[in-house]
This record gives sequence, structure tokens and C-alpha cells, in this order.
Amino acid sequence: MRAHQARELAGLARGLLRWQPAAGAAVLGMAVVLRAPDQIWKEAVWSLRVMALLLALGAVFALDDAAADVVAAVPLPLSWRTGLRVAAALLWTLPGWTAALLVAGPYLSGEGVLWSTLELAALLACGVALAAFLAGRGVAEPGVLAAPGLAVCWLGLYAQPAPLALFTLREQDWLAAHLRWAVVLGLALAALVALSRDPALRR
Amino acid sequence: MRTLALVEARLLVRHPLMLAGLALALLAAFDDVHAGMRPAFSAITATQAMFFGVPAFFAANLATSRARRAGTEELLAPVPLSRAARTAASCLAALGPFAVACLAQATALAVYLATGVRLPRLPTVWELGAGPLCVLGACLLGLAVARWVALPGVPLLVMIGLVSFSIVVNDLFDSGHLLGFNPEVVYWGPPPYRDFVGFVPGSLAWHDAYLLALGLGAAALAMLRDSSVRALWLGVGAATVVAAAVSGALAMP
Repeated sequence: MRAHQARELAGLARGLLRWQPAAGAAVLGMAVVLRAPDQIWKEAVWSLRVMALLLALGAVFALDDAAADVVAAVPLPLSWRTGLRVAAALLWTLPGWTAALLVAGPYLSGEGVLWSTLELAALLACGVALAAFLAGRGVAEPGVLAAPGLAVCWLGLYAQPAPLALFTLREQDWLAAHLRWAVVLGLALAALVALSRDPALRR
Repeated sequence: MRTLALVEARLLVRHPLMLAGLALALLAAFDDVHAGMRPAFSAITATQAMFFGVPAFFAANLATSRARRAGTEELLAPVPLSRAARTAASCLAALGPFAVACLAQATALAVYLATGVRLPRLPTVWELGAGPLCVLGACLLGLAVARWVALPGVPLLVMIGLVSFSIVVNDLFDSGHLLGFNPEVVYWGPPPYRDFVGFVPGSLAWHDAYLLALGLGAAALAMLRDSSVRALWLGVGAATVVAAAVSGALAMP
């Protein structure tokens, strides 16, 4: 039954999802990645970081749903509906990221690719969790608020002083920095799961 | 209109993104200040545009578009103040975040002096003023974008464009460096980038004039949308473009 309803909703996705900001962000991100042709690995890392931020900023609009109140009445729980939208966001995020890795990846070690992908996952989770929080508070277009919120969160992560830095380029600090990224990812995923629970179950 | 401007300024200054931006700007101003003269000078002269300016842009954009996003614009139609006057009040309200940014710079400098942070020399008023002028311009541009475009995601693309432009010109130390919005005033030198090796050439006074002209141009753009005397604001906008071009050229080394 749920799978059938999910298929029905997925069929309507093209008309329901706000994909335009994500497309614009992906195109701009690819321009940044392609703009660094004389890539040294530091430039490659930074171009991937910019791409990750842009893809995450585009993905937060996936939860925009002007008809959320109407759709809320269907038996499909909120977690499934949110999951469908997150899956759709991944559908356009992952090809963009793969393309960026094909361009910048050769200038990085396998470890560098893995760390950059972890950063993307953490930013995506943060953005979607923020959008889910706003959607839960009745905002019909959470992306409009969540995108600036995520941009400011990114600035906050970037401004962390050296002992807590997440955007380090010193190889000896990479492991510690990405452990912090993993913590950010874990917290954001936990928040997303909690915020995607049906409000009726939370009462 | 003065009362409305004061109310708008208070709302803008207390916007969550604005408060977050202020906190980030202060965090950035005191990060790494004892690591060397170069990081300390950069922290007080070249961080506010990014850490306070970007949140200020989004805060002003969201504050200006709140009636439209809430679907309550029709309720404002019968009020005795025209939409153009409300836009003008919002433009004046941008002076609130500008004042806060000036205060933050003054506080940072006072703390630097009180705690004996080593600097190559005292920053000039032009070097300290670039950040607050960026905050002012960001607020006015955020307002103009909100007045002209209702499409979600457009403010984001505008900010991405501005940051990209700034990054592209940032390394052009012999030509367009000071056309960016948060230019470094000192050279970074060799890794680990902590030693002071000299000042970047160019006129920071003209750079500030360039930032002010761009900000006023954004205000004219916002007014152009709603004013009944469009020719006037078109003229003001054209004049600010010329002023920005001239001051930008004079700022270059």
C-alpha cells in the first residue's frame, strides 16, 4: 500500500519538486570546478568544497511543497514523504558530484576524494535537516529560508579557529578535521530522522 | 517614514541571520590574532565583508520579502505610506546594520590595542571602513533583489555571483584586486603566511568610494521598482554606475 502511494507521489515529482535552484547551483559549481585547469591538489580540494556547498544549497529546495498541508492527509507517513524528496534531491546531486569528481578527482588521492564526499554528505544532511525543521514549523517554502541558513552555517564552520578547523588543508590535520565532519553528519542525520517523524507520533 | 525606518532597522539588526553574521565577524576578527602580524591585520581589515556582509544580504532580502512570502502584501495596500516610501524606509534601515558593523570594527580595534596585538601599523579609517560599507551595500542589494525578483533561489545565485567575482579578482594584485569586496590589504608571503611582507598597492580611500557607489546604486535600483518618478532613480542609478567605474579605476595601483 505504502509502496504504491510512494510510487504515485514519485510519479508526480516532476511537477511537485523545485529543481531549478539545484540545476543552477550545479551548473555554477561545474563552472568553478572547470575553471581551475592548472589544478594543484589544494585548488582541486577547494573547487570540490565549493561544488559541495552549491549542491547542498540547491538540494534544500527539494523540501519546498506548497501543497504540504493537502498531502499531509494521505496515509503515507511524513518520513516516507521526506525520504522521497531527499531521494529526488540525491538524484540530481549525485550526477553533479560524480562529474565534479571526474574533473577534479585525478588531482587528489583516494583519501582526498573520500573526505570531500564526506563534506558533501554532511552539508547535504545539514541543509535538508534545516529545511525539514522549517517545514515542520509550517513554512511552505523552507528552501527560501534554509538556503541562507545553510550558507551562514557554512561560514560558521569555515570560521572555526585552528584547533577546531574543518576546512583544513594541512594533511596532518585531515583525519581530525574529518572526524569532526563525521560528527556534523551524524548529528544532522539524527536531526533529520527525528524531524521526519510524523507529528502525530510525537504527541 | 522616519519611524518606519527605525522600526525596520531594529527588525533588521535583530534578524537571526544578522546576529549570526555579527557573531561570525567578531569570531573571525579575533581568530589567529596572536599568530603573527599578517593574520592579525587581515583579521581586522578583510573578514567583515564575508562573515557579516553575506548574512546581512540574506537578512535584508528576507526582511524585505516577508510580506510577499506570507501572502500579506494586500494588507499593506491601504496604509497611508506608499510602497515607494516603504522601500525608501527599508533603504534607510540599512544604516542600522552599517552602524553595528562600524561598532564591531571599533570594538575589535580597541581590543587589539588593549591586548597588545602586534600589527604592522594602525589600520587606517579607509581600511577599517571597507567592511561596514560592504555590509551597507549588501543590505541595499538584498533589498533591491527582493523588490525586483520573486523567484526562490535567485538571491542565492546573486550572492554566488558576487562571491565568485570577488574570488576571481582577489588574486589580481597588480590590476583589479581592489574591485573585489573583501580585498586583502597585506600580502600573504610564503607559507605558513604569518609574516608581514608588505602592503598591497592601490588606494583604499577610492576603494571605499567604489563600495559606497555600488551600495547607492543598489538603493537606486530598489527605488526604481516602486517610485513614480522612475526617470529620477534611473538617473541616480546611472550616476552611481559612473561613480563606481571612476572610483574603481582610481583605486587600482
